[in-house]
Amino acid sequence: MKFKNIKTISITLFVIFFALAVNSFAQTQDDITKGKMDGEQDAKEDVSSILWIGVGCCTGGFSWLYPEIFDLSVPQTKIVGKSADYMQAYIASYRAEKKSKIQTNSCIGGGIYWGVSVVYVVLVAASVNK
Amino acid sequence: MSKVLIFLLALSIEIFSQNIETCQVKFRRVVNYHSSHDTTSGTIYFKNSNFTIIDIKLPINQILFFGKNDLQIYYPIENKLFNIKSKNPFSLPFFLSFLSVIKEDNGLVEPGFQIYNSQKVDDTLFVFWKPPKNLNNILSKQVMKFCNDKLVFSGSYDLNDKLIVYVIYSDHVKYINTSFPLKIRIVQNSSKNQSIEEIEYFQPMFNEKLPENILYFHLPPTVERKDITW
Repeated sequence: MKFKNIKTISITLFVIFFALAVNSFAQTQDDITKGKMDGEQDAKEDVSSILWIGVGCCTGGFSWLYPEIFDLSVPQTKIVGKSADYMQAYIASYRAEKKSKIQTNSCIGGGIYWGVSVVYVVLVAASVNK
Repeated sequence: MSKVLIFLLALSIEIFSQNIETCQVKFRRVVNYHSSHDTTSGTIYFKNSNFTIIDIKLPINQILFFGKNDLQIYYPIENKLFNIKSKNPFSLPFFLSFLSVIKEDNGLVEPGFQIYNSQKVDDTLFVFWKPPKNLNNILSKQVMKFCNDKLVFSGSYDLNDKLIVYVIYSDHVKYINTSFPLKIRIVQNSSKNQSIEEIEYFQPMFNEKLPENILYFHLPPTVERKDITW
């Protein structure tokens, strides 16, 4: 009878600890997922596509290098009251998305610059040949 | 969100530290952004521009130490410290909006804002500010509204004269000659979204000695550190 009680208590404790561990893991995963999503969403809103296409046009696409050279700032107010897991996921995804958006739009701008330049050179060459 | 309080970003906490020695105030901050609704509460301890501590109690335990160009974020339960270094000074828009009333010009003169017009209607005064050159490409004007000498509204207008960010100040409490707003509502309008931040301050204490456990706070030697460049 005594042994049965000890066994029951042990199983109950194990179930409680297991449930707590699972809950803690789930909470961590939730924070990481939320931080990642929020970071991506904020970066998408913070970077102006038109602006970086324009910058890419003016620099021949060399603005692509900008995120490689300079650190990309992250909004500070977004990490106040957030867990360590959320914060790390937020910073990483914010920077990755910001970098990707700047480089993609710089390339589009650079493409426009070089495309227009080639067309211009071809037209000038054609008019000279005439 | 990066345009958080454009005019406040031009300000530095140093501007206000000349007029106040210490400040200790409890706060509750609710942010509504996209579909999320975040509530944070804790206490702000301010001594000077190199000593601002935010002790967050809800939803988690988190302590933020603001230096001039560095920010340390400490998680007491996990015993983890994130040391964030930045080339630019860290700003705290939600606390700056509280402190900004210390100065008559709300600290706008120092970064280069200039008054170009003002109108008084009964006990209400409107003051129109021209932005400095570095904000010329974002802002057309900054408008402030005072009722009975208390700041009640501050709004930033973009180049199309559209109100993009505004702050509503209410429930003022007087300390010496300054009326501090205990309720602040910050609304940011973008083409896609609107974010609303509501901050409520409780029991502000000015020029009183800060608690010893805050003034002489030491991190445990076993703390797990991580460096981040901002």
